[in-house]
Amino acid sequence: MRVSRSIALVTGLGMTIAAGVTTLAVANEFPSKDVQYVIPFGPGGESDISARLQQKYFEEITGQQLVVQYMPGGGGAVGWSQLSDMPSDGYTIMGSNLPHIILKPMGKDVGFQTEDLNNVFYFHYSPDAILVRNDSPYETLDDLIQAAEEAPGTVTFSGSGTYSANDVANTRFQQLADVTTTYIPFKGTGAAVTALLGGQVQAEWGYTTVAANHQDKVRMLAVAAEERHPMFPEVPTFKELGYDMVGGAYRGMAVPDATPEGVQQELSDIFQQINQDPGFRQEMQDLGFVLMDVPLGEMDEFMAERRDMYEASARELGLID
Amino acid sequence: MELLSYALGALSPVNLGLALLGVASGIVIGALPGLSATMAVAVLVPVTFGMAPESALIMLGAIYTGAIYGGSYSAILVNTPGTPSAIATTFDGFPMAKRGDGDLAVTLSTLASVAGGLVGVLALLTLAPLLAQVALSFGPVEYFWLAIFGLTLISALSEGSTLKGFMGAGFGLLLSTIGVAVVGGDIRYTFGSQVLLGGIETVSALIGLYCIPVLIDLVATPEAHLKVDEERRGIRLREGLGHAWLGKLNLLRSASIGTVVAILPGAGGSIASLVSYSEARRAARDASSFGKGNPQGVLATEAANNATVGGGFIPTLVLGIPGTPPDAVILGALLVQGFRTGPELFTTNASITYTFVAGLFLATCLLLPLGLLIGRYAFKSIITIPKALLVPTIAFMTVIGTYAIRNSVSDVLIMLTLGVVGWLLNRYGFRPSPIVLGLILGPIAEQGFVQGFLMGRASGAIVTTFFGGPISLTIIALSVLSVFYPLLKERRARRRGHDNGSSHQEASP
Amino acid sequence: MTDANRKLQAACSARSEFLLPLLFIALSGVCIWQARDMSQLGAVFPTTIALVTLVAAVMRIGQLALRGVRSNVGRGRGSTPRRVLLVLAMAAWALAMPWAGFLLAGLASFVTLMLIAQHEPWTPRRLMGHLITGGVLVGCFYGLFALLLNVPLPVGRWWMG
Repeated sequence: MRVSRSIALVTGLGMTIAAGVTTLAVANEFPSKDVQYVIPFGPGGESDISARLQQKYFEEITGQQLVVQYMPGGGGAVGWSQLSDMPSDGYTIMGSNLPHIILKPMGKDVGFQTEDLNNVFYFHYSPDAILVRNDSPYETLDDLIQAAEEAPGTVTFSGSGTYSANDVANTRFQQLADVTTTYIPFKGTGAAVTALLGGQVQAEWGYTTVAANHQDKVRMLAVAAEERHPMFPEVPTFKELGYDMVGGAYRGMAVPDATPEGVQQELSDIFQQINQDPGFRQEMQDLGFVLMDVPLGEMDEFMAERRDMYEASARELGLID
Repeated sequence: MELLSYALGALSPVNLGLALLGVASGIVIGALPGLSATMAVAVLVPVTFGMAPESALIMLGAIYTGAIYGGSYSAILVNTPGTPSAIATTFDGFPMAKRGDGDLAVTLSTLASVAGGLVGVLALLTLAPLLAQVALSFGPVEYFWLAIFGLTLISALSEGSTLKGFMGAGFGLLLSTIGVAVVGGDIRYTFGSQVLLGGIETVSALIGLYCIPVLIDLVATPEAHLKVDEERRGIRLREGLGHAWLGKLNLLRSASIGTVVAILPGAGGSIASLVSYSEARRAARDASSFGKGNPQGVLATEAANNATVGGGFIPTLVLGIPGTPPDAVILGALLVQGFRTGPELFTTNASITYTFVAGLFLATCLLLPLGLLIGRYAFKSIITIPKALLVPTIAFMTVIGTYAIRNSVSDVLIMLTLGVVGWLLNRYGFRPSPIVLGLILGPIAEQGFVQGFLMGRASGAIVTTFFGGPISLTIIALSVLSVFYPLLKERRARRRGHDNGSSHQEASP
Repeated sequence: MTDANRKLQAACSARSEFLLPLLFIALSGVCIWQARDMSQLGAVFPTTIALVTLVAAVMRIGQLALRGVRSNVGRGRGSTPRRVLLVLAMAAWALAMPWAGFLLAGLASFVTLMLIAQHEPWTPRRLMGHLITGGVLVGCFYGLFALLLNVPLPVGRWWMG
């Protein structure tokens, strides 16, 4: 009895030391092989393009490849619900998106909880923006609000998805400006912008990135960022116009829960380093993104803050009581 | 003749080698069920970052062209469309292979793919800005009617009972609603299971419904998979050219339909070849031989199929709206390379655009020799491999192919379940094509309908929204025609005193 | 027009011709029932489709009853046990894959399916030849997917410790 207990003790101690040493070793050499980067969406979207841009710099910094894969379905739910079953050695990371990871599991079972995702770094966001065609009669945001006040519900917005960043933005905008609009969900930003360009809707809830891609055909009325985007210095922010709206689609990456702390920190550092690269910053800006750094240490605070905001919108949408 | 200089630039030995490599590997990847053009292109993208931009573009175009063409092999030889756009290839391609004409069918598919591909690329080069407007004139309502039109093709395509076709399509449409809804955000018909949350993936459904029944029947009897003729006939190029020459109008029509329909993002690629097929059948004098191994059927679908490559790039490059998933990946790669869509396409960005188009052109031309060569090899290996090896090999491809689409074991189980259901239904006279058509067109119809409804409600005129536009009315007319045309034709045939006792009462519900 | 000509040709047995539409009616019923809990926007499409399917099935039954149906006698060849075995083997394969790993599950299933598909007696020579070819094929596919295409194939939870 005594013997076995001491053996157990020694074994336990040994294992702890061994585990500690491995963690240390891993932390020092991480990454020593290619890292799999799973995007929980289909190819060609903004998450994909961001990952493609990061690929090059990841290889420069670490000497290893960042291998991009797709696991689309259920608006990201298929991928996120499988994250906890993936290897937790830090060599599998998954794209993490706000508001999706908070709104999706609200009030229904989609196979994962927000807490299941261990976010290690958030690197940028595409600010929400109201887009209209170049030939639109709405010159300013006030024009549009006036039209919506005169005939509630007749101003139509296209946007990507239900209970999505666009849906939330529209709800918040309706609240702040005290107007009623009609939000029409489409499958993806591409379809939403097609509807705008084709004249099916009067305006679109999109992002600065959409405006950057279709510069010759659309203009923005307002941007939901802290300050004006360097690419569009003439477009005011919602804040300037008196509406407290800052937000959009945030992107980062998450790892399975059991991933060692040291490796998580290492990943966070690598992506922060990518974010500092002037070439990368320029490329991201040209596409309309706004870079930001939410490293591992500040993640909890950031998530809590966003969660409060989304919960308010979700209540308005009738998603939760 | 700016293009010519770019084309010559594209012809450097290195680029030519890359194009050859791209087309060849594209064909092999496309020929494996489940391995799609999207995947082939996506895997290649990071590799191209290290290349010169021209080489990267040429290689991307080459692998895409090759993969779309390669999909016809699995459609013809094992009755499994690799992509939705190859569904119609199985209609006549597989019966041809069954009766021992698989080599001819592969040759025909090669010729048609080259012809169709060239038409598509030519349209991309000359008419792109003009044709791109087509994509914009289609709103939710037009997509809704387009999907309905696609569904009415069932009555033209279903053999036997039209009512069975409609039931099958209904089944497929219901399958398409499984998972999280895009409009409304409901979670539907998952019965609490997370496996079904992501919905039923189209390509895995294709593999299940088409390939598993073939496998199930393959193990049941000791007979050979395909009939083999004793005499050696080579690639039967002369015979194939003969058919192509006879069907030159068919080729041209199918390629044009393929190009134009593929411009519509999302819906276009999947129904372009179906529309071409039903048009070819309608125009043919011997319509009844379609579906039983008519060479013109293979020509029509494959010409349309490869024309969608050029057609799909029109909205992608001009408007920045990718028509198909592989287009989306290539657009992403172009963006990373510093390309911007829009009016600068043929001015500031001319060098990238022209190189890319020249690359597509080159790749399409390379299809001819490479396709005939690899096709010959694929056909030979399918007929010489003993059954005890053929069955596990095909099974292996279905499992790994389905798994690889979204790295999911659940998809493999769904694929298998659908396969068994498909086999049972087929036994009772329900063909897989209406089911698959329903599955593909379901989301387009539903989203179009609900979006149109919301738009109509906002403007206070729901009826005008749905029946107002000239495009909507044209598509409605076409749908009505495609439902009643077979009935009219039959009535005319009966008036001639010929009653074959088939189902004349089966109008659409 | 003789009576036999008027009768519809069944794809299988006459009874199954009636059974299948009934199944579709049941399916539509379940779908409509389930749609009660959905939001209005989410329910409209599945309900409509289920109704259309239901109507088509009822019409089909009516058609069969009015015109009569003739069993298809020239059908059903081949060995049903082998068909069932194939499906079972493939299902077992998919279920075992996450646990045993892709390579092992693949090899085992390849051999099983090979045995199911073989109708002639085995000779040692043929067996060896097939086994070697099978091994090479599985290896090639594994290499193509895992190494070239970067697909994360399951390693197997049993071996991950």
